[in-house]
Amino acid sequence: MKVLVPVKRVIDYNMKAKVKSDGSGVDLANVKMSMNPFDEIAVEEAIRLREVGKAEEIVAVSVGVKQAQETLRTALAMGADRAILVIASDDVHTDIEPLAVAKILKAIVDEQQPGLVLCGKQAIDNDMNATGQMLSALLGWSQATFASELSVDGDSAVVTREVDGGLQTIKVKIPAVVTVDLRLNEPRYASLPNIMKAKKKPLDEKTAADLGVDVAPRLEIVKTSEPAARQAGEMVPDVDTLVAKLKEKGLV
Amino acid sequence: MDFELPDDAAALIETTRKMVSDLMPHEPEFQKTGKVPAAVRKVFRDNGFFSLAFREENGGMGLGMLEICCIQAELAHLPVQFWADVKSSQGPQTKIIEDFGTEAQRQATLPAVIAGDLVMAFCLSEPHCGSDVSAIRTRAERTGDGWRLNGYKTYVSNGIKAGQAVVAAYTDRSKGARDGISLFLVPADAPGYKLAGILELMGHHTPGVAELAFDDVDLPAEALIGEEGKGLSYLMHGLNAGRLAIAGTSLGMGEMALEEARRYAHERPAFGGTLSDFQAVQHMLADMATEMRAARLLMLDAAWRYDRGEVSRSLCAMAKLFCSETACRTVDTALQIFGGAGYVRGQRVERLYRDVRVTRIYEGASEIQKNTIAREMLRD
Ligand SMILES: Cc1cc2nc3c(=O)[nH]c(=O)nc-3n(C[C@H](O)[C@H](O)[C@H](O)COP(=O)(O)OP(=O)(O)OC[C@H]3O[C@@H](n4cnc5c(N)ncnc54)[C@H](O)[C@@H]3O)c2cc1C
Repeated sequence: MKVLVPVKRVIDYNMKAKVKSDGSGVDLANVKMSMNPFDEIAVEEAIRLREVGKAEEIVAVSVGVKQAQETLRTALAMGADRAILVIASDDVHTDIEPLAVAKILKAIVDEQQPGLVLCGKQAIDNDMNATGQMLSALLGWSQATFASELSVDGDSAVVTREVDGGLQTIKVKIPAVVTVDLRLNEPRYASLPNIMKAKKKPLDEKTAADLGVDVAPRLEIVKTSEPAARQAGEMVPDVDTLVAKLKEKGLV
Repeated sequence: MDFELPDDAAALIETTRKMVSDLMPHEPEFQKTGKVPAAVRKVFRDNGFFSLAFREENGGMGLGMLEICCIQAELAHLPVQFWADVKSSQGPQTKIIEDFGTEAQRQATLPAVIAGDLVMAFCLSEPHCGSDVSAIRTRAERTGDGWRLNGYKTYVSNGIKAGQAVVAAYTDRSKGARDGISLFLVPADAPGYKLAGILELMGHHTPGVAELAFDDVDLPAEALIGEEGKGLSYLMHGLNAGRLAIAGTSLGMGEMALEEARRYAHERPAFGGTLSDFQAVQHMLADMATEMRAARLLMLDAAWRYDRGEVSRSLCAMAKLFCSETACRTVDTALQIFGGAGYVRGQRVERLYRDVRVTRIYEGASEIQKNTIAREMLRD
């Protein structure tokens, strides 16, 4: 079975996001970018499937700017076999919307014929949580979202999902789209020798136009603003004052 | 002119930085027990850190000094004991075997070093001589079919657990250091090889450096590394790389101290504000940052040229001299910014203060680096 893992280049989770002065979005010029952490978990899971003999080949795919090559190199260094970059913009500030990404991924799936698509449940930049679901709808495949456990057996996959009420276990038919949650695994590091070897692995480049997908945005961002600054706290001299203050504010 | 690191180097450094920051939480436990947690060694072993310096045909990554120095600077944020074995896998002891050893010597050592299973020692310094290599007294005499080694070595890093040692000895004193010193590969289990003592140190203080005694150690002819009498030239061969690596070590320690001081100055309340409100402290931080930046650029330049084959003794000496001296000043100022808290055991700057000091001494003391720089300048 071939596993396709879409990976997104996002602002590094350690970076403090700053809004551009014109409010048009988050400033990404000269900011450290990394692979979306949920996608790292998806790559790791694909590698584990290969390690237990349930997958033969892992193809990583990224949609976005040319610089997403680095993100794909990380996936290759972690253990993906080859990569496909779909260039859909030349501006690092353009975020391709989930529907456009899902259409591009559908074209890639049609071409690559994977048995499983493993996506992150959402990207940490815009938190859309939509691409995997849209892709499964476009493909007419089963979907299992928010996976915290996954096992593949023959032509079905058993997925434990993290839902509001607790854990739900479902069985889906393969081919399927599975989106992964935080607790599925702990991704390995890309080892230093594998980082060097990743340079020699194949990385194909295409454009959204090659795949006939229109990536023009359908949403208009009206304004992006920083969250309100936290008010400074107040120091109280003793516990009695603390309790009195809390009562005053109706908190106890 | 392009000051950006090459993509490969940037990717390796980035990954190393991530691992180092994940390993940092092990520091308090280590400070308490003095023992390196097993998880630390596992990360280095699993991720190829013992293979950095070796050529690809020998199972290594074949990295250049630019990458090695930058990786070393990241590792140096962690306590020395965490990465001492990694550093020794890139030391002269392994490089000399790789470059001048026989196939049998390479097979006996390199695969095990790369796997993280073998630590090797480098034995040059003796109780009465360090900078003056020509004064060593250890000697090897020919026997019927090999050599008999006698002598005493000190300050041997990793000497306590080393499985193999590269030992410098006179094979013909009448020829002087230039043509009379040879190197030998000596297994730690050879009869007559003795761990004679342990010197506890100011920094790196566990487990200490070893004193090794060689009493009538009989070695086969194949223990000789390369050619007889070429020892000094083999030692000189690795000199520049060794100095660059110490530039990296000290750089990383200084940069870590700078970051600690910056953070602390921001947080520490004083006189109704924080330390960072005072211009005196701001100027300290500005000086530290400027000097550390200069140190980094000097190291990058020397390492980059080294990898291009433009090996300059003088540039490598300058990088080692300036990085180590600057790092010591920076760590000292950082401790000043911490005040009493910086003098407390368990505090990171206190650890750095003890650890960084030796970078001005080993791999050629600062004075020796200056001798080298001046000699190159005045040579006509
Ligand atoms: C933690 C640690 C680990 C070490 N690991 C190893 C190891 O693994 N293997 C090994 O062989 N050695 C090792 N050494 C030894 C180290 O290489 C020596 O300490 C170093 O070479 C200096 O020699 P020395 O200590 O004998 O000082 P000396 O040579 O006695 O020098 C003392 C002082 O005099 C100065 N001086 C000496 N000669 C001159 C000169 N010509 N002009 C101006 N000033 C001069 C020096 O700069 C220094 O300041 C280690 C040392 C330490 C502290």
